[in-house]
Amino acid sequence: MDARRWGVWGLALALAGCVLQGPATPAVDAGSGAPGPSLEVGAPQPVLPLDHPPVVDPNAGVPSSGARRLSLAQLKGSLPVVLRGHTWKIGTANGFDSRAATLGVPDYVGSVEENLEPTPLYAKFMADMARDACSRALTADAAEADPSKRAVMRFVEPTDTVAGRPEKVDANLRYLRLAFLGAYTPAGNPPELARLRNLFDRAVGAASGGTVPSKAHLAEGWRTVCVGLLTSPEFHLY
Amino acid sequence: MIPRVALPLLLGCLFAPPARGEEVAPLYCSQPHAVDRFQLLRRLSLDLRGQVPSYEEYLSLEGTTEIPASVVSGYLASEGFRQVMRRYHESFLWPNVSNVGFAVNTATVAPLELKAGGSSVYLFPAPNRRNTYRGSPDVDTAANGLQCGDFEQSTFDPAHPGKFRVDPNGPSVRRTTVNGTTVYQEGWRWVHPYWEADPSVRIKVCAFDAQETLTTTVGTATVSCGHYTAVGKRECGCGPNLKFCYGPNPKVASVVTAAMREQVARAVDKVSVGGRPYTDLVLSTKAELNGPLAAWKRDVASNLSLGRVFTVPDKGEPVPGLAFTDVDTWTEVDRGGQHAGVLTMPAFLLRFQTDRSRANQFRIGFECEAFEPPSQLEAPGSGTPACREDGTDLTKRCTCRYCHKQLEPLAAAFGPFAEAGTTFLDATLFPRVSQACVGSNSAFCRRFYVTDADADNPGALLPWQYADASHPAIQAAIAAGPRARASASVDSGQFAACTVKRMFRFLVKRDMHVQGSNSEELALLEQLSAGFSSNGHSLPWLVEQVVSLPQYRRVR
Repeated sequence: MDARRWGVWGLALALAGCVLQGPATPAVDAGSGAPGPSLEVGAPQPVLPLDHPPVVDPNAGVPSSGARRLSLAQLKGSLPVVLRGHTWKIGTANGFDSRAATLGVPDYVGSVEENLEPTPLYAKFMADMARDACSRALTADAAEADPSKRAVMRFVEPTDTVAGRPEKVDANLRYLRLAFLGAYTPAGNPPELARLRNLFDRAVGAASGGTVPSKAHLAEGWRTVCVGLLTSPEFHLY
Repeated sequence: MIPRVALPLLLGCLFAPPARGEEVAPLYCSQPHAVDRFQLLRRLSLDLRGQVPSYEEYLSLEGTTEIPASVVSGYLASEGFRQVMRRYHESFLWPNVSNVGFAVNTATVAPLELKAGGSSVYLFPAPNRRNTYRGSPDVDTAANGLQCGDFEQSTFDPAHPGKFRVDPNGPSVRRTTVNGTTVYQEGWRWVHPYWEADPSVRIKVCAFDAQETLTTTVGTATVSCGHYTAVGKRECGCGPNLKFCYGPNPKVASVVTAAMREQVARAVDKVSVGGRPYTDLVLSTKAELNGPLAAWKRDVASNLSLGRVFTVPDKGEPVPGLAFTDVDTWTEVDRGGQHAGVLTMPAFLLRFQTDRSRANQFRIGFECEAFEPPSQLEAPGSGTPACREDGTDLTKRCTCRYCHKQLEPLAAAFGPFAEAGTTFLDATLFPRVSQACVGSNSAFCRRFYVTDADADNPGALLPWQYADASHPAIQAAIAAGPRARASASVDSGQFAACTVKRMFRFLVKRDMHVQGSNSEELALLEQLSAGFSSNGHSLPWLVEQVVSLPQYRRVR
């Protein structure tokens, strides 16, 4: 993979991170205190995020496995598990089938190796996937009275807010992190939970425009969390 | 370029607490570390089942410290694992032959509108067959329209009952003189084509083309009307239910090529979840055939052009008596000792159409070795023995010989099967030398024999051109065939070592460290290879071993 592709993926990662972390603090020049350049331009080379502490050479020490992006087949198999039967559709067709060739699934005639690189095209279609599949799941959830049969709002009622039922919102966020990412959230208020809660609350606030949030506004909040999780690198890498 | 290792680092940091002001990066940002049991379950499930675990499956790990062994064994017995292994093997067997042109216009009926406002009628697009039937490759009369004419034929030659044979001089055939030539128009009749499962489906087919004569005489031999040598016979058509002919591609050729791909996948199933040793993949003489494969082989494959793939059935080749529409019925047959697992299945032989490409893909797929050209060109006459500047013997050509000394004997092992074809070149039908072909221009000779009198070993059957005393390795390889070559690879341990390396790379997502200064996993390779062999070349055993390794359970 060339540096440009990694750069694009890095940008995608950074964007996804922004969704969950909020705006970054601009770099400040140590001497004058004025805002400094946010990006150094030079020859392509390994670069860590701004202000990241030094890391030990990961090639040294105990052998370990590498990381890989999920294949289209794995995504196609996983989405109905995560979303309880719902998946990405384009018209009436499964989106993973419709976009298989575009997203690099080999046909063993013209292409013989699956392209697992996180290209801009991949990021674009995965954003499409997340918005479509989450909308389907939330629409179905809204019509489902039994919470245990819901895909996203499993531990909350459609009227539960952060202010009114924080424990239920947190329980649902814990559920979503585990179901979507395989990430177990320990008790307490760890930062990863706080970030998701913040995302949900701000999305609801943006949807309601400062008024008392309705079911639709709250559903929009959960849809935002769902999309954020399905577009996060933690979902796409393992 | 940012190294790949930076990706998970960056990922971890994006989701980590803000690091500003901290002195040391979190552990997962700096060192390979063990994944927790939830992430390990996700990894196992994705790798072995092709999907993430369900929420309930994650929850079952609460209160435990590790993943029970039963979870892995359950995954290995799952439908998901069967599908994962199918995809894994397709990644190096490339079994898609949908681009191979089977249907030739001398053995295909295609719809054509014969008259303005008339419905489509099926007939041969081949000008030579039209000419044989009607006296002209393109008939066009004012009274009847194009080709056979748009009217129903219901009178057939009574001298050949049941064969729907058209008598060109009979009263029901319309004869017209066009530009001094008598042309014949026989009309059409209703036929139920073999590719339609619904028996009520009928199509119009020109009556000559739809004749049901089964055999004819070519020279002194009686041959099937479905054989390519019978193409010029007026009494031969497509046979009962058009069984000797290809139909529309989506209805016939596409169905056959899909079955070829599925045939390979079913061979993979046997070694992944079917309890068979992995060596069966390259050594088994058995294969499964469904209706489309059986009907294609039995009725259609003999009708071909020498300019396209050569798929004539082998002498005595077992073909189940299934109908073309029995798509989901698979029957196992023993193909005989010359066969070698997937290596001699149509999907492999037609995807890799030359002996060299078959040998190369076998070497890449099952021996984990690939040819690399030397960095320097060899000067003519240099080396010992001195290399040659020209000639078709690539084992002696300068520079070429580095690879071809090894490739030619390996390619020769695939020589007994027709290049650009599937047929086993039986010595009685394909003598190893044919002096009659020297200097011949016949399509058959040019397809199969060395016709140039100045070439090495003129008259030799092409794969046997260098199977002579001065090339003992080629001679031995072609006599032994692909199964013996694959067996030698199994016996040497190369097959097992390659399987281990491939599976390690697939699951651990990096190459094993077994070369040069980066070879700390060489002992592991030897240990796993030996274990794989001593455990009956069990693929599930190998997978279980790899996912139990510390390497698999750590990330960086």
